[in-house]
Amino acid sequence: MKFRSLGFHNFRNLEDSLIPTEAKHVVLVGSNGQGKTNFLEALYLLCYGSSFRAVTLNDVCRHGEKNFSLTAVVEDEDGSNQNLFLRYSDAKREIRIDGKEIKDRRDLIYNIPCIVFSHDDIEFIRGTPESRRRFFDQTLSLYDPLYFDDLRRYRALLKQRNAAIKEDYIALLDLYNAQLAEVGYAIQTRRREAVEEFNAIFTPLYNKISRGESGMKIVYKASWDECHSPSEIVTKLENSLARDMRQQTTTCGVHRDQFTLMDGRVNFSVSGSTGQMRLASLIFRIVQIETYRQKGKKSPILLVDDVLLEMDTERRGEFLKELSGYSQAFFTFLPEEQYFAKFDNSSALIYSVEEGRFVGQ
Amino acid sequence: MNALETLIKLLARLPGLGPKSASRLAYHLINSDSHYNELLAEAIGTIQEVIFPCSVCGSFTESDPCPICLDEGRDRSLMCVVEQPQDVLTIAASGSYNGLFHVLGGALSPLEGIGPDKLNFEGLLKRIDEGSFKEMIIATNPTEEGDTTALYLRHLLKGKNIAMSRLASGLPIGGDLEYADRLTLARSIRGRVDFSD
Ligand SMILES: [Zn+2]
Repeated sequence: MKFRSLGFHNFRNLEDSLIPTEAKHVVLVGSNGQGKTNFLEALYLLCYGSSFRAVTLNDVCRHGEKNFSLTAVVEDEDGSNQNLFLRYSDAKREIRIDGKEIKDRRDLIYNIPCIVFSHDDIEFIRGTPESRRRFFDQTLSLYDPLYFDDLRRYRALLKQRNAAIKEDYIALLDLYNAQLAEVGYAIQTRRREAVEEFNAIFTPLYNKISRGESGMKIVYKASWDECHSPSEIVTKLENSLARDMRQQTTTCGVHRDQFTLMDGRVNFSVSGSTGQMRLASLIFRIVQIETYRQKGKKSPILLVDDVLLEMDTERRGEFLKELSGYSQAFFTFLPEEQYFAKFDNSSALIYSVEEGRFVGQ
Repeated sequence: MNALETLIKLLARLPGLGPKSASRLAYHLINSDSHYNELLAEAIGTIQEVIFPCSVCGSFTESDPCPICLDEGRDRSLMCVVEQPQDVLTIAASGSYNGLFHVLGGALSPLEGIGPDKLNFEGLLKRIDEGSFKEMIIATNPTEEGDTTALYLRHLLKGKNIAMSRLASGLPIGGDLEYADRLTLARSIRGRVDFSD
């Protein structure tokens, strides 16, 4: 899939316009604060209905405005066109694909596969176990709608079980235990497989790009690790009831699963240098692309936002060489950065970005 | 606040209406014929005196017990359990169900403070013990809350010797019964799945 054009109205600092994007590589060059990332954010919003930054839709309206809209033409694999439209007004979001309104977010997120490389990705490495859990949930959900549904169901059931504990509806706990065990076991099984598949790609690739011999890999420690069936999980939940009542919450389950990045026997989240962590986070995303390509049988669109800065020229070259398997990619660069090696003029559209205006090179 | 603002505010509290559509309706009422407005006001004002929940099944009726509960032509060994009174209308209108109904008044959701004590399970048990029911169709919504309510019913009726089934395929996941179209519902009633333990 490919974005053929992107249009915006009242969106952040971008001047209302329609920008052609019909190229395998679209490169946005400009100083900080000119609107490069806002452009990527607009593309992401059309793919997923929300931003990759931690903001509400109200925050992305141009300063002083209360509404915005985005449009795009996307070319499908078979060459046909798709019209995307997103409007935010009266504090309401409206999304249309070819004029048809999309009500359930699920119908949107499987429309255009899109993967962002963002500055915050380093949290996958440096951050808490939750951040890595989020990475694996995202990777699995990208190609597996059933996993996405299971996760949604698990979260809803967990909230109900926690409320049942607080409201003292003890008679209902058996029912929630049975349902949580069923869906939680499915999630745990899928995560275990996903981690194995991840390591098979990640470990050799990290060694290749870093020219090292480390045995870096993710170690998955499930909260219900010793349970091999839903009924064993039910028993475990029953046995933890006293503790759950004391702490007024569900103290075990896939919401407590741990994903640790180990470099041999050392916890890499503690031992790694910033440069190493940045590189590892980029490779996390490359594995996400590769997994998606294998499982989803489609090539994703990439949004690569300012993530190469912290690496030396050599690593950067290695990284760009390994970046493949996508249908289209958008990059942002600072004016002084060297980036042209990968993008010859025939495959790249280059825009310079200044105060929300895009000028073709 | 003037009369117009009051009207708009009241209309905007109706489900599905925002401030914009509420003010459109208000202006429409200002311009429509006054006899119509009187009829509408009268209908709204008396609706709760005229229509109330049936003391047996809980669905809305103008006479107690409701016509469905009194209908001798219906199969009295068959009970369909639903969340809301409007679900009774939806299923009755599908034309493929000829048993009795029982309205719970919602679905189990501790998160919203709805436990078993807040729903009409007691009335249900009483009807089962005093009636001649042999089969129950659970038509709670296909949501987490509806699923949990169905599981609770199964647990509650254990040992009562009643065959249980659950409305199955065709209904959109996470959807409401109210919006399910008639054909899907008819198919779903025929294709109900066994839900006994
Ligand atoms: Zn009745």
